[in-house]
Amino acid sequence: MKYDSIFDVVGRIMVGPSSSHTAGACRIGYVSHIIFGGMPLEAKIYLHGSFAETYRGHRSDVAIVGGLLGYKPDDERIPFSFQHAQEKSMKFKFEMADLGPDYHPNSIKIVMKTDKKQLSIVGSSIGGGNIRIKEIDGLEAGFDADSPTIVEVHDDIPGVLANIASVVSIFDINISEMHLSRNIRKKIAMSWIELTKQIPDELISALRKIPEMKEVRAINV
Amino acid sequence: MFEDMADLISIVKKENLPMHEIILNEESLTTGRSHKEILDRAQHSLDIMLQSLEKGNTLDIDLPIKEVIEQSQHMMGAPIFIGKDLKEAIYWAMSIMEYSNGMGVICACPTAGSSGIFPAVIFKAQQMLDKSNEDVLNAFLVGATVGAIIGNLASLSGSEAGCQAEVGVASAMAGSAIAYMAGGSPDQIGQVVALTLKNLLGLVCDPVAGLVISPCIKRNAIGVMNAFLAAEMALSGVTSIIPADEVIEAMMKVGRKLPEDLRETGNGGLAASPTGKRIQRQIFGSKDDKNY
Repeated sequence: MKYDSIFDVVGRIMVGPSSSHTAGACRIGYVSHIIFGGMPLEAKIYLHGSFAETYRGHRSDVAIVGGLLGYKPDDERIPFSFQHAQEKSMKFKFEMADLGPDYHPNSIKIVMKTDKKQLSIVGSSIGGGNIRIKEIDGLEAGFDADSPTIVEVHDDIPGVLANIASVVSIFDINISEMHLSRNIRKKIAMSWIELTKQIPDELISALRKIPEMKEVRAINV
Repeated sequence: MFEDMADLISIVKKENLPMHEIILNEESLTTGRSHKEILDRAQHSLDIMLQSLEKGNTLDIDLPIKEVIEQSQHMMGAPIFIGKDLKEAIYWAMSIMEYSNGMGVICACPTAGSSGIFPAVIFKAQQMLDKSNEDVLNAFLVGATVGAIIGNLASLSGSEAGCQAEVGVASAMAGSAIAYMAGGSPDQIGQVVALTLKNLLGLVCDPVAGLVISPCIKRNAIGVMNAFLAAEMALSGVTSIIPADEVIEAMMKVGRKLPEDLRETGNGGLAASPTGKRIQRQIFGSKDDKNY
């Protein structure tokens, strides 16, 4: 069944006008904000497919910038995101781009920068406000951020995943999905772990203590 | 979730409990949430709906299609044919859609493009019948369940099955909710679902410039009228020859046969009319000036 709960049908609370082009766009920006570890100082946003065609009318641009500032889709500050970005000295630029035929027609690539770091994310808005994060810094991803998700990057050596899983188990939280994506040349791997409960800060601190760990982020929903 | 309308109706009759209690038990069983958690969440959705209704007429809303700005305001005038209450409900539905287009916070029901219907109908019915907030909450559960049943058997997406799956379904949800609020029997709730969906069967999704504005805002108005109409008919004893579940199945079959141009692409129907195309050019201009 597509809809198990009545709240799958009524209850997505969001800033209008479009669940796919406004709420979904904002969520891609919001997840990017979390994975980057906060607001970027500079963001370049590439709009692909249907986003490139109709972003102005659906205010997808305003919604994405709101997400990059850390606003969720139901945040009343979203309409003022351009102004807020200026006040917080976040620069952004939109460009139309053809990401290629492998991407969903509603896709966005966001390249975020501060003076110290840079990160790129590709996400698709797949309908009804649902999204899928497809790539992080060129590594293949595939999570929808509908359940609490830990995303981390670590050295690509044996045994790291087992360490991660054992740390999660100490906190008595069930793993509902776990995936790994590797870059053999750079010798790094990224994994994303979907959990059944909210992610406590202590769990993130514990994961950071794993020696091979480079970066850990928690998407709590 | 219940298999279909016949399943829901037969369980209510068998258990001899009010429909909203059967729904609470089922929701609790499938999601693991307590009754209180479910009711709190439903109340939160209703609160957001009421807020969007109240704020919808106070904001200075700028829309990309200038011709539709403040069209809802015209419905505040004295009634001519349809009575003060229904005229005001239409005004509410249209103003929620305008508010949504102005980036106001709304509760999608079942989608953002059909989000004006349910709040306008349910809160107007509450006022007309002088019902309590608890009655509204119970009616919400019935309407939401009807939406989930239709979604599972057919679709809730204009890109899949046309506007019948958005405004049509919103109308069925709202109509069944107020029929329950008015004391309708389980069979009468089923009749409302059949009648609302039949009336909008085949409705295409043809948004001008691909936006949730034209004809969406005004189609929310027919969704409101259709909900009150079907509830009035069913509560008066009118029955649909075709049972609700067969109407839902027909709706999905019709939806599948709709050409892609008429499923939210903005390429057919009203979107392809000369005026529709002119508006699209005005908003999006030529391909060359898209970078900024």
